[in-house]
Amino acid sequence: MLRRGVLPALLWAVLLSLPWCGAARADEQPGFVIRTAYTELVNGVYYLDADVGLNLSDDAVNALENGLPITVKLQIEIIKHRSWWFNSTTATLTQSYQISFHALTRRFIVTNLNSGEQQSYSTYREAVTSMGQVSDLPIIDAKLLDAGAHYNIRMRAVLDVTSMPGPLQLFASIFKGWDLSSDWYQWVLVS
Amino acid sequence: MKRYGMLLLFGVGMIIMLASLIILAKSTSNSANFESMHVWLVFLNAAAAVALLVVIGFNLGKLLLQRHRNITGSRLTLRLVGTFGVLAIVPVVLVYIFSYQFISRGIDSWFDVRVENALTDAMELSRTALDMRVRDLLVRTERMAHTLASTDSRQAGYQLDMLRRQNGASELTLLGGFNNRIIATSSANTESLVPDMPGPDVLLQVRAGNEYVGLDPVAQGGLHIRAVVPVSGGSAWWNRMSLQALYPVGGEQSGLADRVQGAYTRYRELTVLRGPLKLMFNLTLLLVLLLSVLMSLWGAFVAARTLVQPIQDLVEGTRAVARGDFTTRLPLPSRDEVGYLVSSFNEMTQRLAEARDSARKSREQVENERSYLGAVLTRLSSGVISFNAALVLKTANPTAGAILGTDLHQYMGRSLVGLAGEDTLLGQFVTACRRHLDADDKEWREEMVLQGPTGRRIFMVSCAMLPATGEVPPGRVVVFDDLTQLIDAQRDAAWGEVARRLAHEIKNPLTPIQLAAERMRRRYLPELKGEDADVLDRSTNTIVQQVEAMKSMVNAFSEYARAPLLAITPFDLNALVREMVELYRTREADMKVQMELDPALPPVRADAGRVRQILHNLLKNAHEALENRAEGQARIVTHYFRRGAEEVAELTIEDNGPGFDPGILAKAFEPYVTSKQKGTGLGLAIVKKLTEEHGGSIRVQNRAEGGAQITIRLPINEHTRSHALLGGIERRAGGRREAK
Repeated sequence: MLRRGVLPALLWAVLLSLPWCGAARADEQPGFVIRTAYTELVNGVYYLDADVGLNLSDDAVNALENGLPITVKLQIEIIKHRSWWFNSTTATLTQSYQISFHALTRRFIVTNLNSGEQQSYSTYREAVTSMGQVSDLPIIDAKLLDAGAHYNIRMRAVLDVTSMPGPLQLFASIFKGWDLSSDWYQWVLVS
Repeated sequence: MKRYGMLLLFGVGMIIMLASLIILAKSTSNSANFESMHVWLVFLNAAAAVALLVVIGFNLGKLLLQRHRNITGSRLTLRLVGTFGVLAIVPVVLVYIFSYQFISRGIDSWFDVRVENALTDAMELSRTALDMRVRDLLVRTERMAHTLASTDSRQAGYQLDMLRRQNGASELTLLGGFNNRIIATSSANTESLVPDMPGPDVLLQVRAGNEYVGLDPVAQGGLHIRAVVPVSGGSAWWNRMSLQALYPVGGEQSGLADRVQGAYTRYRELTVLRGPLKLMFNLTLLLVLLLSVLMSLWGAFVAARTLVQPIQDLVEGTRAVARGDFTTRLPLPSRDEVGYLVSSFNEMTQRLAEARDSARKSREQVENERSYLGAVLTRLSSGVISFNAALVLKTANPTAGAILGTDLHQYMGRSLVGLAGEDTLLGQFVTACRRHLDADDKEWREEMVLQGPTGRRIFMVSCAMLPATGEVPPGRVVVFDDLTQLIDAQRDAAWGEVARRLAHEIKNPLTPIQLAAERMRRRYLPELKGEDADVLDRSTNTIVQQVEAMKSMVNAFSEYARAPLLAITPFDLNALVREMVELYRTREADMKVQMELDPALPPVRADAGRVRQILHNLLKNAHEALENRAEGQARIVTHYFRRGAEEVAELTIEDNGPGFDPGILAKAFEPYVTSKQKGTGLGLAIVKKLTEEHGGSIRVQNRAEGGAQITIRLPINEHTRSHALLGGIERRAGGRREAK
């Protein structure tokens, strides 16, 4: 279910990214990167907004264009800071997005596997760009956090190899170009 | 324990290998349906292969090290492992090459250009078929937009609903304003609250005044035709509206399109998976074959070790046997030929040990018999010598040397031929023996009379042939006894008996004769006158005197025959000598006696009376020999010496008289042998008898410068005396003379 304000955000994102999108495609190395991510507290709930750069390798794009769906997972963890002991993970959230190519219509379909929302795009670039835009994703209710404790939040994007067919899994685990994941991007949730 | 561990590892390896094979077979039949488990299986197999590789590498390294150190069995093990390895690798490599080709061709055969073209064409056909409808629907949507343009916005909702029903759309949405807000919407699907929005690219296109129409897969709705057209109502661009219509591609056409799409996608997927599939198959195949090779190599190690172990044991056992260790018993490995070999080896070592033991026992027995014989020969009073056909001396007991008066050990291993003809006792003995040997007498017995330095010696010699050994001519053993003493003793005993009887027979009539003569003298001498009286006086005197002389002679005989007990006491021999010499000097004024007395001489344990008699007899002999000689002089010497436990006093009396007649020198000690006009001939016989009663020895010889020399050796202490009385002292004295 789309939230209010998603469409304009997507539109602006596309508008902003279009001028350098083509250039970036040519020279950008395959890989995932969290460009920006932040949380805001609205009505007692933390919402996440993030911009994730998803550059699939040529092999992956080729597989995608030949009909193999590709799943990208956004892993989000809320970590409670403890002074005299190891930090504990308070909550873990995984958002899975799948991109696939519909041969008959020649459109790229992005599906949010968590919600079932689906959107089609005419180009690959549009599809991955929209997939990397996260806005107003509810993370956690503020009531669930201990008052006065220090919390960090971190996230990363990972190509989900396990959802791929067996031979490709083996292939992916042996050859580079398939092992795509971003570094952890961490910021303070509550201090 | 280690063995079971290896077996377990082997079993697990085999199971993994079989599992890989089964999965490989299943994968081939159902190519696209790979399970994610396969990845793990591949890694598991790879790990197993690496583990095996490490184990084999370790074993191989150990084996090479053993080979380098030249350890027993390493060469054979290496050869076996090499053979097994080659035997395993060659077929496996062949299988791999062929299988690789089959797999590659099998996978490639799925793909065909014609099939691909057909599918692409089918896709194109689907699109073309739908295109007609798409264009038709775009016209319809434009018409609806036109209708809506003239409609009051307040009635838009109602109008949309009506239009949707009229035109067979599944959803109609009126968008407008800056944000493309939803102004009104109508959907056939009442469950869906929010309309399906077009993509940003579509909105952008429509905002620019263009229309959009295309096929679009909608979530939960299948394939739809999406048409978005501008609605010519508002004047300002931010106030412009657009209408989106979604038409379901229903019916048979949709199903066909879906199936074509599905087949096409599936085919394309396979083209992508072709590389990974081949890799997967090859990797699995490679791993299985690698595992097979490694397992067989490892099996080769285990088999070679199992095979070589008993051989190694055998080699070690053989070495031990070569070292002389027959106690080695090898463990029985199996019931096969090797086991038979090992059991034969064990049997052999056991028999060798038994043979060695029995040889040792018989050797010990021989040694015992030899030492027994040696002891017997050493203690034997007979002399025993043996020599071979060439007369080379082989053995001689100590008694033989003592009898022959020489140390026979110096002749051991030497031929005695050279000694024949020599004047020594041994020389005479050898000469006598050679006569028989030259005559080739097999066995003989002879009484030999030889001339020794102490006089005549009588040997009883018997010779026997030794058993021949091989081709060597048989030697001989000669046993001989010195009968001299025995014969002397027998002779002495005979003479004693004669003397006793003579004394008895003669002494009895002597007293009546003497009494008769004296009575005659007493009765008739006073009555006779002149010449008659003179005759009677002389005759009776002669009778009485001769009878007296005869009596003393008879007494001397009795003395010789008598053998009273000795009164052994320690006394100073030198003092006795001095006393006797003084006595003679006073009695025989013309006798010159020179004394050389050894001051070191300890008291001699002997019968002083008898020694006195010995001295008396010897001095008397010397005096008689020197009678009527102007330069006559006697010399008496005492000397003390000891050899080991034996202590001996030596007494020598010599004179410069005429010496012994050579004819009687050999029989000087026999009774009634004398060179003197008067004398009984018993002097030296008595001296010898007395000396021997003390266990001493006597020797008589003529001095080179003229005159006689008599040497007496008397044992000083009891030990020497008892030894000498057992018959040894004379022989020892003889030996010492040689040694001196």
